[in-house]
Amino acid sequence: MFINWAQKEINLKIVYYGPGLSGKTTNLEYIYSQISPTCRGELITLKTREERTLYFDFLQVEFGKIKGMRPIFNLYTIPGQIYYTESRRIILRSVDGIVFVADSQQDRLEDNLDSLLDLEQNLNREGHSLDHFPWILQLNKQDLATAGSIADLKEKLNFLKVPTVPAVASRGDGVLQTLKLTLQATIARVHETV
Amino acid sequence: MFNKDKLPTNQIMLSTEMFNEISAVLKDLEVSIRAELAIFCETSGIPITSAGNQRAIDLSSLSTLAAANFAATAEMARMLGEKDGFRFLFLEGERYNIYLCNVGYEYLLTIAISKSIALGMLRIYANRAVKQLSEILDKAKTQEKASEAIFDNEFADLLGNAFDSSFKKE
Repeated sequence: MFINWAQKEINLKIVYYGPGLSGKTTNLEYIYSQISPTCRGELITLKTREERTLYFDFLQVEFGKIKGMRPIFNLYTIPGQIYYTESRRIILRSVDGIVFVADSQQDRLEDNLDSLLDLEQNLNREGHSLDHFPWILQLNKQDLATAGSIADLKEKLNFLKVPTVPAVASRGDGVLQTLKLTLQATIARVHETV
Repeated sequence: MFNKDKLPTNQIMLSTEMFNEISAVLKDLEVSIRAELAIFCETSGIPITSAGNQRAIDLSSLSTLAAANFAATAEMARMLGEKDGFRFLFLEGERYNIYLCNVGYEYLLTIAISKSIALGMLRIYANRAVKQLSEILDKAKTQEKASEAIFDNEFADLLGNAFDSSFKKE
């Protein structure tokens, strides 16, 4: 979090984490398409020819003045591919809240767990840990026939009992709910720390 | 809810005075080397302040792209086993050059400058600015946390209402 008293701005960083092709960019694209243009900046996406996120995606959203301050939420996605380790670490610096976008398909369970472990390790480097950090688990791609049941996915992925949102990001289901819960959890955590 | 004792804080509170000091460093840099634009941002691109000719440039977008570019060099450094990463990145254009360098662990300085300014001179002035900025930021880190009662329950409620009214109905 970065507070600029001169400009009455509070910058908070929310990172969408998760394995490759789980739908992180799709979340941001939906938010961009639905939010009032006066509340958002440009959606920056750097993709490879195969439509994979190269460095990160970025979207800035804000909701006007609240108690005399202007909270600005900087939303980032990470590149999910295993080999972009350093990019993920850089993006996680000074992170305030996390959305973990899991791919609900049964054959992606290992990828989800690997990514969660990677997240935990990278958070540790920043002095954080998943069990003491505001994060939301989004179970994306619930519309696919190959998706596991919500109960089963919760049991395998949500061992820390964080808020969970089933989603179909490609049609927007659960996307805004996820964001709202994440912002609330992030603000609550900041409240706890000051 | 969350264990307060175990929460490291990565909050930076920049007072009006410190913000003005940072702005003054950038302004001084801009004037000294006739920079077209100097942006000081956080490593993932959140702009803090800038100096120079901003015209219709979207500073957030520009600094985010600069940060992405710098992140790519960090990946290359990792692959080559370069432990502390690369210190700066220089992009050569037809009219302008761009110089990117890190300020400590968490910030970046981006300078767009006319091609007529030699890289050596640019580096000297950039290094001087980096040193000054680092000193100001060190002071910010030791400042008393001053977010006091901003983030109370009322703040969360107001934010929730503002959130709902900012989106089309789902």
